[in-house]
Amino acid sequence: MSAGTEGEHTSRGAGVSRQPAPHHKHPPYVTVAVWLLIVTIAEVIWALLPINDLIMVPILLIMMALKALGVVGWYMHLKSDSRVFTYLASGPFLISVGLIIVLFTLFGGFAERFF
Amino acid sequence: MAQTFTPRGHGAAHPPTSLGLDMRKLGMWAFLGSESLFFATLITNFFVNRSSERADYCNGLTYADLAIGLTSVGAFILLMSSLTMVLALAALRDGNRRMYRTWIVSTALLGTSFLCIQIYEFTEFALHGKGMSSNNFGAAFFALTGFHGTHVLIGVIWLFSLLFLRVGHNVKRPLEYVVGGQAGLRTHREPTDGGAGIPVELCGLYWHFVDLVWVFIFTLIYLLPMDDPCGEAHEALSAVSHLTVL
Repeated sequence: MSAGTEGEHTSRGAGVSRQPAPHHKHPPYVTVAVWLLIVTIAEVIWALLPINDLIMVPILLIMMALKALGVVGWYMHLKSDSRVFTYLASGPFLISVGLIIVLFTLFGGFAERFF
Repeated sequence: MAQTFTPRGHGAAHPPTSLGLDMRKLGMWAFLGSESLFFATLITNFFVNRSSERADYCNGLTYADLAIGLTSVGAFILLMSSLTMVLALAALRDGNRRMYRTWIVSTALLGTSFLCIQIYEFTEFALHGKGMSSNNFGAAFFALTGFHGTHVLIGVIWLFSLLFLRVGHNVKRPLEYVVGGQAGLRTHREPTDGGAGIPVELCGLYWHFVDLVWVFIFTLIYLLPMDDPCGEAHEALSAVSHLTVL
């Protein structure tokens, strides 16, 4: 990319112009917030129910993942932003998950009890 | 031939990378990636160390002591703060500085509320002699939630500092840049505020990350069931009883 200023850009940029936009269309932030809220309430209610851990834990983890996707996808704009940011975010995340599994196995976390 | 440019202000000082992306955003995402490894280690530390010897565990902080009701309110507050943060950025991109400041202040106040809840929770534990050194569970719990709380505090300071910075003052109205003579042709899907909102966007990314970490902590630490070696009927009953804290 050339590093010209906005003034340069409007005055001598061939074929380049600046014009007011009608209005920005933003993602449905409030709708996402409502969904996050609903999932959070569902999570808490689900955790309070006297259900077998084998059923409770996976559902809780799924709801957690849904909330995380909502925050990352819409609020952090990964859904609409450049793919490079998605790769930058998902790489360390996958390493983190691997780290948790490896350390957990190493220190006998699975042997103790997880589910 | 399509031309690209760097807007004045912050953009001029920080030219985009060869990928056509703002290097400050790239740097922030890389930083957040390293932070996620930090938190992953602390979460693992919690799971590995949460089971102490029975006597040690029962005399210190236990899973039954965690206030799920109060923490749920904290989780709700952080989620709402993420909404106000993203609305602040949207207002800035729309050129509405008044609403931008309102949403930023709201976000900072919500963050402060979350911190107040966490301080209250920590103080209650400490007053009952269930501090960080009471057992392994307490050590791992305070390390993880305290580290997260520190991040929230830094975020709140950052948010308040945005009010004193001349952020986005060159955004008088929403602008759409037309590159190469064709409307809508841009090299990447960057916001069309000429880069003036980048400082706010960086702060927003950090704030959303703090919220994201709490999404994980809330479920993994507070909601996932845990064996109760002390024989307390903590699961549903204690969770409901802790709602009385409110």
